Amino acid sequence: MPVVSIKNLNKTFKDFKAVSDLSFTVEEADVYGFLGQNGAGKSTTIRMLLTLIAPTSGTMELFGMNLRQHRREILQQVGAVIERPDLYKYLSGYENLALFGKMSGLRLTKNQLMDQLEVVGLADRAASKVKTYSQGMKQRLGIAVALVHNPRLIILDEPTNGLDPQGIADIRNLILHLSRQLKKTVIVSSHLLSEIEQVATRMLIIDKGKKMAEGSVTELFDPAKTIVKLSTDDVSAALSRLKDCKWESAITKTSGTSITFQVHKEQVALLNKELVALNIPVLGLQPGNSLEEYFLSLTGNNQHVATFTN
Amino acid sequence: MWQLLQIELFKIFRKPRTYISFGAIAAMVLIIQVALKFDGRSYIEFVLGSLKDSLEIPFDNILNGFFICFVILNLLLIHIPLLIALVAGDLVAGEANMGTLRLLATKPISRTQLMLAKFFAATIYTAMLLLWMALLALALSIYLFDTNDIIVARNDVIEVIKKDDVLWRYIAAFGYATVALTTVAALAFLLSIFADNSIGPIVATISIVIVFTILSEMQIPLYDRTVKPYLFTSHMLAWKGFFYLKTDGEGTSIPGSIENLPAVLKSMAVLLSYIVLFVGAAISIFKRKDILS
Repeated sequence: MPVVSIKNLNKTFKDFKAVSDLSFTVEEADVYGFLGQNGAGKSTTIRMLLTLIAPTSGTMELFGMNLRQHRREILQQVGAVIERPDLYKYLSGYENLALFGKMSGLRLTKNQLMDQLEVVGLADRAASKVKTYSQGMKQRLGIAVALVHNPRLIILDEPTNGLDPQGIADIRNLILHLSRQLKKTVIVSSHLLSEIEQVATRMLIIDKGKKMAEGSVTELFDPAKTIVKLSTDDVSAALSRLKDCKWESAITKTSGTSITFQVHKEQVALLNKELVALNIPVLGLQPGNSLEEYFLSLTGNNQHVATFTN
Repeated sequence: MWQLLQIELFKIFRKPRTYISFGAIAAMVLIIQVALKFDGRSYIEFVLGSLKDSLEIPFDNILNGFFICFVILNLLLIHIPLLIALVAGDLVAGEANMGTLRLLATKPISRTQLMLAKFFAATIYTAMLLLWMALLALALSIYLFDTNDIIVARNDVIEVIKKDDVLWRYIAAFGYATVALTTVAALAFLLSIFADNSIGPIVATISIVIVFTILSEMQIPLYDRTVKPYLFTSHMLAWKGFFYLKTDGEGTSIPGSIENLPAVLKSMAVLLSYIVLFVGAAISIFKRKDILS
């Protein structure tokens, strides 16, 4: 039985369709990446999963139960950080955690709460008011709040927004720890392909509210479909030298300054060697992934995937 | 539900803005007490108007703790709605502004429970604010000025209430005032669900109270029949009814009586109806609201 099963989900705000006929499933212990550019419909979908927004149509089942009919039972097993980790700034970290623990129906002892704060590295700042916390500390406290009732499913909406590189690495490690050690199911959304690629076992790409791709990360990042972009000063000359060569069939696209090949990842070095042997001036050889290309075409912003490596 | 209420009260009483109201009431009450302590005679002459020339006024007896409390209630209760709106208008809008509303709404509690807990917390805050006012206006005034009979001036008539007949009237008046101000809290609470910032609902609540109070006070016969009976502000000052006594055939006040108890109870019923209407509407709308903050 899938942990999450979404069928034909739709959400319309007045005349704007935010989510369109979206269906997907999340299995037990998956780290399910939810990828899309800003405004693609990720947060709207996550808010529907958390009952913050009512869907226009479609069905949502979590743990085999209908979300509308079993909201309370389902939410007892779900922890979430939605966009920013907004907490009560005038209360301490400890008080925030105790308060949300109570709201989840728990009576946690002081030691249990301090243990939770220890896990996210905030035990020594437990008594400080949240308004004195850095963004990274707030994010860690938000995660402690999401985990305080030991949920089966953890939903993290853009958890690395506003964090420094160390904070991003901490969140990544935490997600992997939750999944691998604690066997939790995690849904994590991001507009950064590199982030999702590093933690997710399965992923979905959403754009303009519609599902564009879904599958396991190993499938979607198939090394046999590595895209290599050759930059050269004379594309016509290069094409004529490649004629009747074994690489000719691997060409997928040409432009005024570049030729794109689709090859196996392990063949990239060989391709480079043979291009040089063919006296083709190699100004640049940039390996990528078909998924990356596809995602770039959706986002139209190279900066989003600048750290991507395949 | 009890735990949710505890949480809401905890949040209210950990916010610095909550204590602005308690501080403001303490300051206002003390200012009035000091003024009456040093120049109470002038105030009594002003209240009695032309009657002061035809009566021999025992100023030392009139200026007692019960009378001071009556003066304070008259002067302050009209301004307390601002202090109530300050907290009640922040209950939902403040959470939306902080971003905590979405976290609350993902917890395994129903939205109805959440809203009821917030409203009951606002009611308790209102009651505590009035209890604080009662402590200062009544207990401190009794301590500073002692007790005696009180005079109540109404339509050029002076009514004297024996001191043994006063305390229960104050308890009833403060109880009534709690219901009246809870109506304001319920209005601010309703408006709070439409905003992502508490300034809007606070200002809107005060604006409505001011406009309705002006309408309630206007002496226009058309409004007397068609509008005034339906405005909650027309019923907010009915606590004064506890200080109006029945008179016998010789015009002497009857101790322990209330001149028009049905009118007071009717006003209270109107206020309670408004509370049910405002809170019911708030819950109904919030249950269906998409939380986008």
